[in-house]
Amino acid sequence: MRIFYHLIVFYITIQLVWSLFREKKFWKQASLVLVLVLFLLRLFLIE
Amino acid sequence: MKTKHLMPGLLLLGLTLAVGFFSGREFLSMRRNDEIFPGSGLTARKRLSDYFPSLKDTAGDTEVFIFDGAAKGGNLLILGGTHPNEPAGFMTAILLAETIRAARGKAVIVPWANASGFTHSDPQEGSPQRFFLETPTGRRWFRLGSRVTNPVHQWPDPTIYVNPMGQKLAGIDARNLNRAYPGKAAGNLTEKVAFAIMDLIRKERIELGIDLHESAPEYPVINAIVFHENASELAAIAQMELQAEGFELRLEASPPNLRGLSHREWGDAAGIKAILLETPNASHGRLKGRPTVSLIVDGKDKYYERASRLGRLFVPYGPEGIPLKLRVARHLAGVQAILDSLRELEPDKAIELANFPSPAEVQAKGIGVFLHPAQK
Repeated sequence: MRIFYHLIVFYITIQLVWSLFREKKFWKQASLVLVLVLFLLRLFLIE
Repeated sequence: MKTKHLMPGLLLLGLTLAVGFFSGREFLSMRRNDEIFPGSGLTARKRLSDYFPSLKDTAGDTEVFIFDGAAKGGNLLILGGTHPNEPAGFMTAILLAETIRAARGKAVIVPWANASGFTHSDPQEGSPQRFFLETPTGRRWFRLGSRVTNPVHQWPDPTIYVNPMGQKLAGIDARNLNRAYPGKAAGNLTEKVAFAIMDLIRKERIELGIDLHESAPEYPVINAIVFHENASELAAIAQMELQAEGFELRLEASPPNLRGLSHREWGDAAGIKAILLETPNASHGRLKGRPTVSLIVDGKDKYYERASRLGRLFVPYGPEGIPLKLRVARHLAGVQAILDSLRELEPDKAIELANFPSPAEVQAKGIGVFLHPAQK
């Protein structure tokens, strides 16, 4: 089960990084990284 | 993709990774266990999994310190850290593990009873992850955990928790060690820890168990000795001794219909004299201001002071607060008075602990002077 969870979190993380570089407005990019940091923590720290 | 958007993106990504790295490191540091440096009186150092092997390599396994005296006497269990957000409980157990030597009988000390609870803190409380005490050679840090088992180790909570004795409780109590007795061998992690403690009680032939707690100043069961009917006489004599020493403690009989608690199930299931001690802790109460290290150690809070003036508290609470050293001194005086009562009531079961830190000295000099120096 854990691998599926990791894959889902990884997929969303990649989407967020992709959107970060496609977004043109700085403040939208800044809002996006606030979500990204939570996904990175989930990706690397989940037991 | 234009490079114009690439640079802020890269900058923000770098910032995100830095925030993730530092907050992740802080988060993971809660999983590192504190150290205890027992004195020369230690005769055996075990783990809870030595009594109940199914706990091995789980977050529920924890250290057990045994002090066995040369002379025959009774066997005592001291439990700290049942609720890891109640620092006077586990600090008293740590202090005893680092100082005592058993002259007669046996003392078994479990300072972090709910080890999993020490690996996280209560959500939305903003509690510090650690607090420190000054020792003669420097500052020593101690983790402050949550009241309940880490949800990473036991998840999800049921809507209604039915504990091993059939009592219906709120879902979160599925992770509360002091609702899980006498435990279940095939239960959830918290029930397994409770089961292991019951196994320890049987295998070490414990006769007297003391569970060290704290409660919020607005909670009615406070500055109290909660006793199982097996220990009623013991508790009554201890209370008189404590009053003579200037410690006001009330007696609370363990309610027979409130199941799953140590002071009920240790007595019912293992037949031992079961006692729970409570001191007042402002840092986990509902009326507190900002939770800080100072609030934990010095115990001063202007909102509690105000609540006290309005007559809303069950303990006196002045501008001097209720510092940790006073709360630990109260627990030490409680343990000492209970052991004195046992010696009076059952001389053949007496337990004598040498190098027992004097409550008056702890109150005057602080806890740190009695602790092992901080590791460099």
